[in-house]
Amino acid sequence: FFRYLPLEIIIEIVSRLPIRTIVTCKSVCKTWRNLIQTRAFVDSHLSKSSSGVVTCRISRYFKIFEFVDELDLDHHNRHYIPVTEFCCNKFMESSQLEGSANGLLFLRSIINRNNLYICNPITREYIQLPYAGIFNSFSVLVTYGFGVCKMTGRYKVVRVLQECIRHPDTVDVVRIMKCVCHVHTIGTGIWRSIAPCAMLEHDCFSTAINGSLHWLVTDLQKGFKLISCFDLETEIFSTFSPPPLMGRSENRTEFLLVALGGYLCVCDNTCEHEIVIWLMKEYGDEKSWTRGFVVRKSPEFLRGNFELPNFVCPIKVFKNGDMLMAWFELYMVHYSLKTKAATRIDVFGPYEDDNDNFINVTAMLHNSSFLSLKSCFPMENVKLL
Amino acid sequence: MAAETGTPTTLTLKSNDDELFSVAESAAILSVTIRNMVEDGCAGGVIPLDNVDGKTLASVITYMNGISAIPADEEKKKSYRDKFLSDKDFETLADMVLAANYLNMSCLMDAVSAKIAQVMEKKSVGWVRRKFGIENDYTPEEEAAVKEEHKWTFEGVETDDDN
Repeated sequence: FFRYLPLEIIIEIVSRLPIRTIVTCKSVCKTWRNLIQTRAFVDSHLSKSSSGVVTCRISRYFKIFEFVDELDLDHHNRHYIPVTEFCCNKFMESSQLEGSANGLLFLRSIINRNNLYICNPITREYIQLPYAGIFNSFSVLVTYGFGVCKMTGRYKVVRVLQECIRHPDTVDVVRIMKCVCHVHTIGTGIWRSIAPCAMLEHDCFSTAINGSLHWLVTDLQKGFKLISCFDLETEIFSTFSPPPLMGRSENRTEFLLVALGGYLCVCDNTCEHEIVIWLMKEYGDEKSWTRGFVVRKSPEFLRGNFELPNFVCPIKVFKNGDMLMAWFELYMVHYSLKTKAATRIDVFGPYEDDNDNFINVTAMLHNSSFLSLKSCFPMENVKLL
Repeated sequence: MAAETGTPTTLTLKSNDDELFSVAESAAILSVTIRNMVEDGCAGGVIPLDNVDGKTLASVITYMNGISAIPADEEKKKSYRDKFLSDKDFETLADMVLAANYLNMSCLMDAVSAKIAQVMEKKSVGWVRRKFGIENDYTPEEEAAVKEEHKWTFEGVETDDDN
């Protein structure tokens, strides 16, 4: 007696498994291997899986984690399940992690800043984006954003080029002279010119939420902060106000834009003893900024003997209120809401080549996916890691 | 068309091995397939369910009655579902997922799929093939190549002789 399960039910079941088990399932038979590569499976899996995290160490080593059973987080170390890791090679230069959307990573070379990559660590595929000119970083600010359209599911990279004038002594940007913006839709092979953003200094990583990209930008003339928003579908820029109290801030690095628990948030690091996270309760409504979480800075945050800013970037809020955070760019900590204590998460383990413990870890949310670059973007020159 | 007043409050369902079951309409319409029949006025007599056997249908009806007795409280519904599925073996779960699919019951479908996934999680490829009745159509070389492609996933998997 046996009743074969139809493939639509196999998709329902297998797409709920952890990544590593799904990969194991490719060995079951050829039908299953092919099934896991179909768009139906990829979409089913993306809709059911919750966000994991991608971490990058010294712009070379990348590790991806997923989390299990978010409701039981008392023994949090068990819940960081390694999924996969990869390393930049001679073809893909050492790169900065600049974005993650629906399974794909956006990487920017630290060697040649004009080299950009899109990579799926699960399928081990990557593509290099078409070259789009060389920019002098002294006179032109170059900022990128990566995300996925809400309706069409298209992956897009947006580039903001800003001609600027710098202060002769401090080299700070004092004035934006001209903005030029381009969009590259993955799979098309070209950069298209689009209507530019406002003359506001875009000089940070983008935060993707709600089908839009966001940057915390500065109006250099008036000296205050705004949030610049780019709708990936319509390709239109707009701006809205950040939370109150942060209108005029001299120090640009103390405020961070993050997406937490489905909200656009501003993380305020100005206070010595606590981190205040503001939530935009109703997306797009400037009046809905609410003082959300307050995280006490415990001595764990200050570990190490080097003099560095006491600077924290939240990455993920768990269902029980615990938080995963990056401490400066050195390591990740798990902050327990119950005990108010932070525990270091050593994802990379000890490395022999660490200089003075300076690990330089960046981390962001990442949904692993089986999306095959080769079958989705047949026009692109897809290479393997 | 269903007459508003003539709608029965109890339905009779017939399995493919001719067992008859009485079930409250309010519970049975958790199945979109049955609800459509009721709305189309086809539920006057006996509703034949050609793809579900008596043993499975009895179990599905237990679930229908159990879950519809719980007020709108997602936590309680979830714990009922967990308890309901906790003692089911793989074959029963496979029958239930087929029935849930045929009856178009998304909540049962989700719960059973998740349960099967949970059972599969640490199992070997051989176990999956046996349980799903799948023949290995890889040559040894092809299978080795697939494993080599993703060798990082083969840590922590149970050995092949478990069941």
